[in-house]
Amino acid sequence: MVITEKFNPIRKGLLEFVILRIIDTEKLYVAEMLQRLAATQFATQEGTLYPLLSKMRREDLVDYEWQESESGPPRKYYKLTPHGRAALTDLQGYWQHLNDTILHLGR
Amino acid sequence: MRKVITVNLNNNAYPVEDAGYDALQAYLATAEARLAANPDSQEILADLEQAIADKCDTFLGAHKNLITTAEVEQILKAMGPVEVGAEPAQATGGGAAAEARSTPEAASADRGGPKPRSGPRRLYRIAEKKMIAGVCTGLAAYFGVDVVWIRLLFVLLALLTGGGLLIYLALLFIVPRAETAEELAAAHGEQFNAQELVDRAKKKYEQYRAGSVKRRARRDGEGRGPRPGYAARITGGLLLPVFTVLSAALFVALLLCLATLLGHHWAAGGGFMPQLPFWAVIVALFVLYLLLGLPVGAGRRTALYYANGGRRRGWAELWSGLLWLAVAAALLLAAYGLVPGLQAWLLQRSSGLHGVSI
Repeated sequence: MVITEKFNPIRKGLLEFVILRIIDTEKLYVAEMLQRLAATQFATQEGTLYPLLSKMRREDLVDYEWQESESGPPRKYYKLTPHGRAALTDLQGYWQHLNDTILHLGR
Repeated sequence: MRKVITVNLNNNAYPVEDAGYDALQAYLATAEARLAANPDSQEILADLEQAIADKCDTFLGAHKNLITTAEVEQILKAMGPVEVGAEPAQATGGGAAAEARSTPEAASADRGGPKPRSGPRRLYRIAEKKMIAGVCTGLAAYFGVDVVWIRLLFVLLALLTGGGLLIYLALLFIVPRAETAEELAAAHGEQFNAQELVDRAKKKYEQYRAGSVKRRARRDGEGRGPRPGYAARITGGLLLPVFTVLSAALFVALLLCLATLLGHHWAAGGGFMPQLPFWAVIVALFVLYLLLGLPVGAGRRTALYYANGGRRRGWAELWSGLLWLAVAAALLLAAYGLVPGLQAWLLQRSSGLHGVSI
């Protein structure tokens, strides 16, 4: 599909924003994040997500805590840092701004 | 009947068919190579191994205690190619990626996702799958041929003419190493996607905004201004061997001058340059050496800085050091072989050393 391909880099660039959003309200571990994104246009894979989360953690946007699970080894639950929360607010504002601009262009 | 290999995935043991083991090995090796520059590479690799282990668990049951090759491929396909977080070299994601994911190449994790369009092609040294310094892998990527042919060519050239070694050495110094995903993409002649631009803009914004980011940037060695460009790195690489050879030659010249002066001094019993005390001659020699050596040393350090891609420390330092030693050794050997007086003098010195007083 031509349209999805055209937007590939944009979706890719938005992935960080999307992740900030889905862990805004609750702590999630990677498998849960993948599951939530699977049904959306932002479907992604471990190979992409782990390096991205590690980068976001270095940038102090997210942090994780270990939590025991009923089955298997403990899991890393990711959550927003205060800095991440501020970044999310900024990003949401900017995204809104972008949308408004596009909607009003040429009208 | 097939062989079964037990693998350790983040400290869990899983029995895997041997072809599946190879696929796993290839996937993790590629991941490790791609994450080489990432400060958290060990943690990410452990996470990836754990994710693979979790997926393996879903294939094991009370009556099934083996992961088949097909299942490994299915797992690796679901994992997707490992992309370097800050600068993904390839574009995958969303609906189009869902189709791309089901291609068989994704299992080998090497060429996963749709092939990027072609972009500007530049010669870099490529660390991934290198043998010595990545010269051959870089040339292979540049010319789009298998690296085996390039290596064969170099070995043949080296064996037949000796020119192969020289060309390799020259390229080693001149061609910069591909360090960022962007450079790696350029080395393969692939176009870099828009993510890089977004990341760059974001980075600037954050540096402007937060002190904590500045501290991190310093740790990554990015705080000292922009990275030198391709041309600057090439120039650094071109000048580095020149300064290295000059510096080694100066050092050898100092040694030879010292040896000659001492020889004359001892042979003539202090009659050499009677108008000057001997210590003054030696001091003058060292002053001359420092005068000549300081600019050469400064030039060498500057060339090193650029050849290393804007850092103080790096591989260029090692290569330059090795070249320095080789040149100094070669010159000393040549001097020893070519100057008959020196040879005779050294022999005479070593035989009559106990009779000498300075």
